[in-house]
Amino acid sequence: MKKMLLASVFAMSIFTFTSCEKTVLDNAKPTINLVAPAEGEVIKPGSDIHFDAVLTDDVALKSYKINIHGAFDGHSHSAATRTTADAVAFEKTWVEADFIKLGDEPVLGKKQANLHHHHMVIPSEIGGKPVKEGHYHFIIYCTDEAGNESFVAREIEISYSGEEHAHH
Amino acid sequence: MKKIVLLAVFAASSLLSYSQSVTLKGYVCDALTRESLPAAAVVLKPQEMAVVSDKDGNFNIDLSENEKYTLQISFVGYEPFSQEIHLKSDTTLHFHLEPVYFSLKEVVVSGKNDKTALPSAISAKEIGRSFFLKNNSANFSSSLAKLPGISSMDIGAGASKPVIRGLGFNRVAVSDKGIIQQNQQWGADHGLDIDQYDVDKVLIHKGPMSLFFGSDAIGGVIEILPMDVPRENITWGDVSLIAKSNNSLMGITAMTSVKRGNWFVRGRLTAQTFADYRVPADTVTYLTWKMPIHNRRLKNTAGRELNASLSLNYGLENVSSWMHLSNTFSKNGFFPGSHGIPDLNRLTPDGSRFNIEFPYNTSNHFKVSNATEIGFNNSSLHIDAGFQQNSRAEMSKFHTHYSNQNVPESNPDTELSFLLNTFSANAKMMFGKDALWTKTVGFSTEIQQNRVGGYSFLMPDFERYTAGFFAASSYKVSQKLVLTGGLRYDAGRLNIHGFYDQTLADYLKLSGYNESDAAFYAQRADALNKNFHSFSGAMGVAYDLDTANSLKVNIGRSFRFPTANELASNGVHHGAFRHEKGNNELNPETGWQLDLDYSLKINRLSLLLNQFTAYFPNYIYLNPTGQWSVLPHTGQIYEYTQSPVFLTGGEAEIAYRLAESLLLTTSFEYVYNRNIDSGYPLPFSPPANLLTSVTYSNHGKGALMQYSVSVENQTVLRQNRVSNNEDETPGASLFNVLCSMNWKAGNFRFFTDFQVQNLLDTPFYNHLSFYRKLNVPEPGRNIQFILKIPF
Repeated sequence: MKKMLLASVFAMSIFTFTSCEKTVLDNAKPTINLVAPAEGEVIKPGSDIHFDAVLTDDVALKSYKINIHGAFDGHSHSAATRTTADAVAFEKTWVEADFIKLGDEPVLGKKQANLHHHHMVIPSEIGGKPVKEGHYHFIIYCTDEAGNESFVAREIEISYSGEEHAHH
Repeated sequence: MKKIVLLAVFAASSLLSYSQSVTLKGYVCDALTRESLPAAAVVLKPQEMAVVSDKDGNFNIDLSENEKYTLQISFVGYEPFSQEIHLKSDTTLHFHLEPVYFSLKEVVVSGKNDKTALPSAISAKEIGRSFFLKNNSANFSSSLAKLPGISSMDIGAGASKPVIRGLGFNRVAVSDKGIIQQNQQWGADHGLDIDQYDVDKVLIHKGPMSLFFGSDAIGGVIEILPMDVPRENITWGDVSLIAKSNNSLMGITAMTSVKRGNWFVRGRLTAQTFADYRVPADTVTYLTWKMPIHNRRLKNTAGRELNASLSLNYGLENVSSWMHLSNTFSKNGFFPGSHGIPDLNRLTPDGSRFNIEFPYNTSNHFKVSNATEIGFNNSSLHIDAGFQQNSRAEMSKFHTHYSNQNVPESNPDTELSFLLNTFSANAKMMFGKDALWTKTVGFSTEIQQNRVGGYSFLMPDFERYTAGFFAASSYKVSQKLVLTGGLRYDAGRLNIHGFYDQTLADYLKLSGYNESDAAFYAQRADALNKNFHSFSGAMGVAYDLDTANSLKVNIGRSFRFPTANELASNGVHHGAFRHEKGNNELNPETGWQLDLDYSLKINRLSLLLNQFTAYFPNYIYLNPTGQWSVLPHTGQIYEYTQSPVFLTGGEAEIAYRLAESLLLTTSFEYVYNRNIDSGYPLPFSPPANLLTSVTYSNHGKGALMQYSVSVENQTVLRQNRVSNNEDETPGASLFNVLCSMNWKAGNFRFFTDFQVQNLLDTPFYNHLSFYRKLNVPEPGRNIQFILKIPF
């Protein structure tokens, strides 16, 4: 009897703690629907990137950022400095604040934000040297107010033979 | 109490005498390690006469000449042994008992003359060499994960680190023959550097053990003990061959031991090589990409391992001194998809599944130590001193995001390297070891130096000095009741070298950032001199209600000093895809924990319940700040923060002997935790897990002496209590079949162990795996075979 009692006290003490969770936690990451640039899109140095995306979150969005960096030779980021003496790989990060300065509306607090702008420009040359042509990663990161983060990565191509985008 | 009963039985049995009696002299030992088994129960049927073996495993029993008896020998943790005997004259017989997987041997709270027992009311589970043979998994940590309450944080098939009740990294201390193992346990992508074939006896302490082990022993301690030195002059050894189908592993491990007079020496060599492992999936979906897994083999997860150890013991009546020397080396490939944004081209087969290409990891751990114990009249002194060097490197073809960074002139492809030197010394004096009241005082110190290299930066150079002293005591109030308690004080100093990344600063300035923004990122580590101190302690009660029921209650406070990366690092951790930022305001992490242990042992049933409840006022974790990092390959900055945390959970283990040769074992583990500030669960919390096995064991015919066959089911529940930015992990149910056999052909003895792991090739995800966020399942079906030949 005494044994049974002890055993049941132990078993109960483990499980009573588990049933007292009350706060609703936001574990849902924001979603990113990246419309443009499209996978494999070719961009000519000196032109801007046509950027079109829809961000959504079940509670509230916080912010987003965009990064472009080289993805050469089938490696995610390879020995660019080894092989190219004259061309320079393009790499840049834009945070939302950069776009807000240019007049964009912040996504903060919204459940959905439709983004469409041409603020990101690939320079025609870097420090007097041509931009290295090839595959690049275009990555957009998005956070919600709870700190959940998601990102979408896409491969784009920078090429001097690419077409310049018409402004929409 | 039990002892007294047994002694009484022993005394009674020796009173029985027969007119024409012969004496059976018996010796009971472990069939594999040949260690003697003291206090094994020997029962003679049909008379139901019982004796127990003495401390050296010997027993004497008087029998009637020419009569048939059945002799049964049983010992907790071993298969019961039964044999018909029919003696015509005085005979000496050796009995080799086969250990069972489910070792129920528990270390009893001091008072017993057991040198290894600490005056603690936290129950310690003891496992021996046979456990690692019968539960052989990829490495020491992943083999231990079969124990309830222990899980394994894996990086592919090669390297793993132990997690106790969801507490991992620097929250578990591993003590190897008296010296705390120091490597880079703060990092997820670093293994333990212990050869699982070179382990004789391990005590698993689940619960706060800082009182005896200092910093880091918050979640528990894995204490590797030296082997017991045999008393007689003897030479023996063994060679084991290991083969695994899943990753085409081939391994060999060989040991030789020699005892001559006061000297004992033992050496072991282990070598393993394995190919890329197979997963039960053709594709993995990472982000929005579907990545192909060609031939179901995870590219570049091959590895090699080479370990050597030598131990020397000199023993006198009251002195025992060990010298231990060991070196472990491992080289493990990293799945290319796990470094950076995966590119499909990097996942195509490279022609060989055995090769290790970039990126890969090498780790070498060298250790030399001395452990000396001197016994005095009713007291003993134990001293450990050791030096260890951990050298780890992550190799990856030189790459950079910063156009102004040049290829290094030497070792151009060393991305990160760490060289950690640690000198440790402990002294412990125990008074009144045979008395009712024992007192132990101890001192320990550690001096550590870390040096880093490579074209990337993750961890700064540092020096760390710690020292602590403790006093602990146990008092035996009665045969049933033992009280334990103790206090400890530790102080430490951490001297972190600052690192300003000029290349990054120049690059950011070129990219148009101002001086202060550039400096924010370029200061990869702040120079820091920090002093810490912390109290820890424990109080406990062990109470044996009767011979079958026992209860232990322990309350303890443990601590760990923050690590250099938690205090001072700043930058992208590529393995984690995160910008991680240290916080130089961190205080030592402390935890209060209450442990309740109940054990029941009646005839066929053994039941063990462990329950824990803990409160950490200042648990250290990486908190998403919401602030963007401008660095590539990373989103928001995660900063080390401290928050109050609540944890609870426990384990239940049941072993039930369904029939003479049929054993049912079940174990269940559960962890619940919660960050009180944010409400989120802690990251890397192991899911609830149920392990059930049925084992049939019996004596064989002909050359087959004994065999045991088990069918095992491991059911891992879904983990849906996840931290923010952590993915839920689905559950899975896996089946394993195990068969071990003990053979003897003439004088040639050998042991075989055959296993089919994950019989149905079920896709299964380890919530704690390094590859979890890539959605890569754990290795699929594996057939493994171990042949062990003792000589």
